[in-house]
Amino acid sequence: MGGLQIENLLKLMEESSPLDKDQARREIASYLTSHIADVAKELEEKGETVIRTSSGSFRLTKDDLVAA
Amino acid sequence: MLTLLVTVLATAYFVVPELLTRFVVSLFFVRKASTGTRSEEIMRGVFWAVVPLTIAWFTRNIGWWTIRPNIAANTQTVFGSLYSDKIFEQNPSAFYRAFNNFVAFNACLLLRTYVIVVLFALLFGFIALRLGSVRAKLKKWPRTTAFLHWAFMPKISEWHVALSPILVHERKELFVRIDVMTKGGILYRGTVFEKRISADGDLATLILKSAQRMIRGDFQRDRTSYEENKGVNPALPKPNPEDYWRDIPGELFLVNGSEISSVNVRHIRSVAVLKPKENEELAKAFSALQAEILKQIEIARLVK
Repeated sequence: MGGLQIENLLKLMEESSPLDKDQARREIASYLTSHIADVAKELEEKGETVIRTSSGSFRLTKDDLVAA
Repeated sequence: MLTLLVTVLATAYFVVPELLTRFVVSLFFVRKASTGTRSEEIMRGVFWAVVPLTIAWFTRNIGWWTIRPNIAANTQTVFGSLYSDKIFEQNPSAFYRAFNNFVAFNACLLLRTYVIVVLFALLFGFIALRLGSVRAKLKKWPRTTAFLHWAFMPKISEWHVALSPILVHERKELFVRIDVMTKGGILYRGTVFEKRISADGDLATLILKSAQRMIRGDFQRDRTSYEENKGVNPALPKPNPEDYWRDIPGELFLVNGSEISSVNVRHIRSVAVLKPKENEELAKAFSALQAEILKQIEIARLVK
């Protein structure tokens, strides 16, 4: 085994800074607005997409769109 | 016979509690194959035996099954008779009476000890599984969280720590996605479905769900071409790594641990935790996205 990297683990373990939901919502909305065609294509083809924000990664599925 | 009795008692009091603990905690998480030197293992075994045994001793007269009186004299008779045939022959019936009481005494004490061990192990496993959440709740007591980390982390397999959300404080909201680079240079990614740890603590196999393989050769070729030509043609689109992932057919994909070169672990949340309905901006973006999907479906239908 050459290496093991765990992304964002320290942030996830840091109890003093819970997830900034407003910030994550803003970043996701902004990403969707600017990459709408690509995201739609990926959702249609794969059923899900992962969006990275400064608060971590979020999975968006077609079910999430329906639920919203 | 005396040696045999001492061996049986030593096993029942010092070995079985440790084995019971291992069995119960293995229901909660993958234990580290070896957590220390031989002497440390022995010390741990003694700890797991002495503390529950002490509690069992102080509660020996509580409950429906209590210890019979004169147990000290009975124990003396049993050990004396087993040590010397002469003592035994003087009064064999006294030995058998004492032996019955001695067996009942040990059974009572051991049963209490084992129940306490199992309860402790269940509590240990329960806390270990929620270590991140427990640490978050106890953040006002840094020494307690430091103690928990010291007490629990060395017992849990590094692979279980790395490939499960055990350390994070919102584990129900998160799931683990990994990128696996093999020694042959192939890059896979997916969700961890199951992992097997070998007896020596190495990762034996990794089973991925929704696995994908990256066409790295094509990506590297296009990336090199882009780097070489972007000066000449600034409008040239930069290759997007996401376009080079291909789904692997089948439900699950098994990667052999010995073939793994490196692993990148990501903790991902579902967008649902952000409650998109309650946020106007996000709800609007979702509606636009739904409209875009329908538009693309319609275009694809017309092209066909």
